[in-house]
Amino acid sequence: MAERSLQAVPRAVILTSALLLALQITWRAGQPAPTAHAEALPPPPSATALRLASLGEPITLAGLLALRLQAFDNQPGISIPFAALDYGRLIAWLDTLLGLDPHSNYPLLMASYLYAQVPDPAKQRIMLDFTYRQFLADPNRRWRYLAHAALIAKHELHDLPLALTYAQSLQKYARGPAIPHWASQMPIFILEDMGEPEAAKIELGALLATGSITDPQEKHFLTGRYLKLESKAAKIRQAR
Amino acid sequence: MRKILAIARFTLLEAARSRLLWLVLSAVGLLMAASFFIHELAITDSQRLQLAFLATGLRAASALIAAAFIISTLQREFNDQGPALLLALDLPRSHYVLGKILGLGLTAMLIALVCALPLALFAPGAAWRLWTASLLLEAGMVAAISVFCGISLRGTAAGLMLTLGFYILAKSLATLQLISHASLDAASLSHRHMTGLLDGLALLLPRLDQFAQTRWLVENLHAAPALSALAAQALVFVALVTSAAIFDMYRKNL
Repeated sequence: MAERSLQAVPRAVILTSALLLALQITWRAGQPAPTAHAEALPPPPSATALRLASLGEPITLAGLLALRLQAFDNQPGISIPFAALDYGRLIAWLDTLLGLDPHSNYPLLMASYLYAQVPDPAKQRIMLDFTYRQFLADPNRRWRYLAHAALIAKHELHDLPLALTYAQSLQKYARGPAIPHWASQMPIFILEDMGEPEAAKIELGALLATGSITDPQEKHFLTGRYLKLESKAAKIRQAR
Repeated sequence: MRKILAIARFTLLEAARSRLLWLVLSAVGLLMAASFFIHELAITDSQRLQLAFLATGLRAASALIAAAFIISTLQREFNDQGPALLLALDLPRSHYVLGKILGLGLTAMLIALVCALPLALFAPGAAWRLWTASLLLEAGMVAAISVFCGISLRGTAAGLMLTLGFYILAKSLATLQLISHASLDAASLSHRHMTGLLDGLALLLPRLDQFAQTRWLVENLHAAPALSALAAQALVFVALVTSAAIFDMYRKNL
């Protein structure tokens, strides 16, 4: 149905509408521009409250909360460095997210790849510790994050004993078919870097003895490595 | 039976001739767009997150659209004195309610099916089929409770609020019960009353959190025996609500 023409509207109504529009624009123009305020990361709600709020959809809620946490450093008009975040609260959030959706990779990826990259060794250690703790709860699913944590411990924290602990746990607990050989070989290279060729040789010998290395090229490479370690260990023994 | 089927057929025709399909398709389009946005935002698990968001959103949208359509249709009919006109013919009140529940139930299931279709692009086949089948059962229950509210209450807003209240409570009641039973203050009188109330409500309401679980889609679970239990629950609940709607219809002054 066609509308009536504009002339059907009383002039007073048009005038009043125009005046009110002008008033609205004037009012908004007179208000100060919004300023950015950095907001501190609040503690997460309890797991029970979140389960209740999820209305039976904890996976979706965990995903949306992970996105919110991921974007927390980018607040409207302001950018906060990760290092400025409260890491105690971050850990609480990551724990909560994993509680809602234990099969999600998101919290562990954020811990090991985002929050562990800050130039603050204490905060890095908090995230590595979280990754290690969560790895132990489900090693076959979470092994890749511990492998990354071992690399951070070795190359960024230069804490070889910590890297060795992670690498050895990886070797010991992650036993699924999807675990690549390089992950179980990590302790060998860390031991070598620590100046422990004898221990590295024993680790590598044990790995070769299991027969799990079936690729001929890889077997050849690792056997060569074993022989080098053996000669290095022998030299050390002779020097003593 | 012919009369019931005739009412159901005209109810379905009315739904087909309204702009309901466009509304459903718009909701699906919007949620799909939002899910792709979420997919782009995520740094890992992007497919999983997109699927979970889309499944949750489409599930809620199908329930909300179906409830709003059913309640507004019934309210308009009662305001126009349509049922009074129909009942002046040789038609028992129970047949009118049964015909409406059948027609509107099928409409709600078609809405649910349209909402479930896009998920077939992202979810594994067997898990998607199980999820869709249980979403159709849920749609049937939402339709039944909406018809009950549409007949029993005056006003679209009141009917819609009660239906949404039922939906939210039925989805969260199991968690509420767990919280209530695990409370440290279990000995106090008020707590015992509240626990009793929740346990009583749990006997009346279906556990909607067990229907169309997002977990099935993202973790590719398809336990066939679960569906028969869900179907039995849906059947019992729809029958109960239908009888309550018939009861109210017989008491209603038209």
